[in-house]
Amino acid sequence: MTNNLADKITEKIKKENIQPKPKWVFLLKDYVIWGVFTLNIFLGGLFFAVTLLVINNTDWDIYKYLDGSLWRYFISVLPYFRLSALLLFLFLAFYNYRHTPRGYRYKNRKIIIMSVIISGMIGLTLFLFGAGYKIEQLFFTGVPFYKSLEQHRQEMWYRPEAGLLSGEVVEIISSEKIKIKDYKNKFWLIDVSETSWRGPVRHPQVSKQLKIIGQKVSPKEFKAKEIRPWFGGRHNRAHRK
Amino acid sequence: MLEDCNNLTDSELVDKVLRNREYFRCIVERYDNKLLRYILRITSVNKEDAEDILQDIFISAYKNLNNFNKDLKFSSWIYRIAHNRVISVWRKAKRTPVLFKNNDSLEIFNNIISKDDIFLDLIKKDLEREVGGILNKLKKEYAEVLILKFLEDKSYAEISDILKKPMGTIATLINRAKKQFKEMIVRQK
Repeated sequence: MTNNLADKITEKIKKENIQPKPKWVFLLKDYVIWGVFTLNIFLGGLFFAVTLLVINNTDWDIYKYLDGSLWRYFISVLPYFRLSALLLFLFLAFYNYRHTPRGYRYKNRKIIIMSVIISGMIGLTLFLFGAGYKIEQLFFTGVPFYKSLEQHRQEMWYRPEAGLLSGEVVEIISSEKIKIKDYKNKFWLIDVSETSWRGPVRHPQVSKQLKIIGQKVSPKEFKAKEIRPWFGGRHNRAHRK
Repeated sequence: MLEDCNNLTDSELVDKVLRNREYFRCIVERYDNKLLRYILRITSVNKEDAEDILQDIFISAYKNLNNFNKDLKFSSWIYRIAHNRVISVWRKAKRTPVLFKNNDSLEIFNNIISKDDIFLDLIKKDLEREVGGILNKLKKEYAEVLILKFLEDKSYAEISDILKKPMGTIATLINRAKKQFKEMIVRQK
């Protein structure tokens, strides 16, 4: 069989002029797989950073103004979209690594842990250097449906009867009174005379988005006990004005 | 005029083929019997069909020669091509292959069961008939690792490279395959 088969094969190679595929074809394929893996790891890192940002900016103390259950509040404020995107990119990174020339030699668990660690380190670095906020803003302006993710948070902060209100500062009337427009475009007069300010914003600024805890005084007036920036505050120490 | 191939390693031979395709004959001659036997073991095709598959495997190996990575053993690389080709034959046929021939069954059985094994007594009678039946009932992935380990005499690292699975997974598969094999023997008794 040996000589016969060897003859047949060499004859076929000559007759059909079969050539080995060039080396660059295989190298290109490997580079593409490694490139897509790196991209997915990096995108995973970006979503890790924004997930950390959202969790860090969650007001864990306001559940008592809602229905009083910390667990239900925790479930309702988890950033599901960002977490899903993070998991998706980690899965894609894992899938790509599996298809690298030596990817099959490692156990799934090892590849997943390695991907999580690398993406996590990228995400943590971006978050600590404040890039998480910038990425979140980029997504807000660049990704069409991203704004709708805020709706839940806005609704959570639109409960004047329960003492929660949010909106954009439209006018600073005096050092004790400001006017805001809530997300339903209703105007409110806010008494800030006895409020404490949390986060980097220590005084009212026009066009700033704020979250206010206090008491509804009338259908158009609200007395603030505490004011927080809507987003992006890296420090959470209370500061009385 | 071709240099004598017998003194060349597989890796050296690949380099020669890339410069002069005539040397591919040496690769074919070195691997055709091994691969033909492997194909016959893991498929239910007849010898003529197996030779057609074998020819496809060598042509595929020739086309992809630049993708051979010298970190691997050449035999693992070409067995991997054979394994993939056989899988595509299975898919086309859309049927589960009959994996074992009776003479293989006996050989694999002798390799799996150690001499001081408590099962030794059980296998002395009508061994071939029973074992052949049992092996064909094993899960396909178990049967494959048993063939590679006990018939093709491949190491765990080589099986890992052929099947593109981690070595730990290969070890687990072999252990489970052996365990299932022994359980089936006992059940049959």
